[in-house]
Amino acid sequence: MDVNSVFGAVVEREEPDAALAAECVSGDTTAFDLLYERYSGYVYNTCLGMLGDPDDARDAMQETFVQVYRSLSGFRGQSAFCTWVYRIAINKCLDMVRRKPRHRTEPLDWFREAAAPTRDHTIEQKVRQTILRLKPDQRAVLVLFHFQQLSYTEIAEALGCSLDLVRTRLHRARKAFREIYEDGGDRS
Amino acid sequence: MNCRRVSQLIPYYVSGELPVEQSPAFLAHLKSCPKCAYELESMERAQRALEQPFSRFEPPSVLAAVKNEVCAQQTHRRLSGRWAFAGAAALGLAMCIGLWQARPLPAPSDLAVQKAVTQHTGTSLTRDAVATPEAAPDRTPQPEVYASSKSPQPRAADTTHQPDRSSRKQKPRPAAPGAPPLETQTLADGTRIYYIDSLPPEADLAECAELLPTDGDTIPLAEPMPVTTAGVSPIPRPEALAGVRMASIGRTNRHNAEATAPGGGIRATLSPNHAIYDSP
Repeated sequence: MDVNSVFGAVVEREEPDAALAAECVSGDTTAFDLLYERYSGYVYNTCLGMLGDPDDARDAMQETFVQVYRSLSGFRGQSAFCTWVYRIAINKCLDMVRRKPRHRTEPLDWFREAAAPTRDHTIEQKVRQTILRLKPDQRAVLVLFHFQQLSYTEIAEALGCSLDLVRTRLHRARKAFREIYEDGGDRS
Repeated sequence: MNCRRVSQLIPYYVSGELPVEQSPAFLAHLKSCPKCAYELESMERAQRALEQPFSRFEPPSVLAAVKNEVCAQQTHRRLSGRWAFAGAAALGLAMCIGLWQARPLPAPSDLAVQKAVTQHTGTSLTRDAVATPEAAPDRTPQPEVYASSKSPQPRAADTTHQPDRSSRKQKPRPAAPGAPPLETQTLADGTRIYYIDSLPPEADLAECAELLPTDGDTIPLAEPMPVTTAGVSPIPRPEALAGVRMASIGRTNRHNAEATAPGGGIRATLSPNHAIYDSP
């Protein structure tokens, strides 16, 4: 996955993530700045899709990067760095959902103001609203697949489950999504 | 293929993952079942909604907050580690103190008992003021001696030994010039008397232990003191004990001695700082 293609992040050093992680562990703080720069957009939008609230997404993003910083020494490179970061982010969001289950009924009032005015965002708002009504694990697969465009394999790495489980969970999530979406997306 | 099975396969069909071998039956059922056909149509609408491009939002900068939190956590962890170390050190110290307190009675405790006996049974124990057992009941102020019928082995004091903290608390009694630091006297009945005051302040504690009173020893009391009732008294001796020779005296712990009158009616627990008396 080309992480620089989506956000066009300015990356001054073209070092791989694992090298930057190693440099960060050895005390190079600018390496962590670069990792943050590369992944902050992904993490924030994932958290926003999962939680539906900018403030909560900001908190989850902060917790995610704190965890990333603290766990860098344990990153062995057995999975891609990006899926490792996604995994931390999803876990932080799931923790937050468990702590604050009120997300399921909150409207996305912030969305119209924050979204670019160049196109009609009615459908997108309805989709986001519908996703927030789903179970957290179904939310996670839909956000990672449709929002972040991750492959099944990447989702399996990010969620720490098998490929078959990802496929099954995704189809169930789509089915549940359809039921709520066709119902107007207002069912809680 | 029934409706339930078709409903399960609709998501796979929409995402293009329906197994080829199931496609003919699946499509045939859709043609004959309006309900399943509607469900497929509905799923395709939902799928189109999910496949539209989603907005990307610029993330707020939390890098500084992340670094602050990491630093705070590291500081907290360091402090916690220090507190844990301090706690462990305190626990170790407490255990050491406890073990030291629970050790077998060592020589310093004997000296403490000796000090207690000295404080509570008289102020002057000198060789010149030896009282014999016969002279005690006259209730006249007498100098006090410590006599032991058990006859602990007399030994010459070693003045080269290092002074002890407990011995420093005792009032120093200068020995007569040229006199041996420790002497004994054997009475007519065979009782051997040791002169406690002749112990040099720097006497070795282990050697002092040999001279401490034990059960069966006698010690004459003198100097009338105010009468007190049972209880803790800052006053050293009750009048009832004045001049009474204690039938036995022994250690109760490393700081206290217990003296008992011949009739058994008077008992006193003596320590350097206070005395507990049982009134007759």
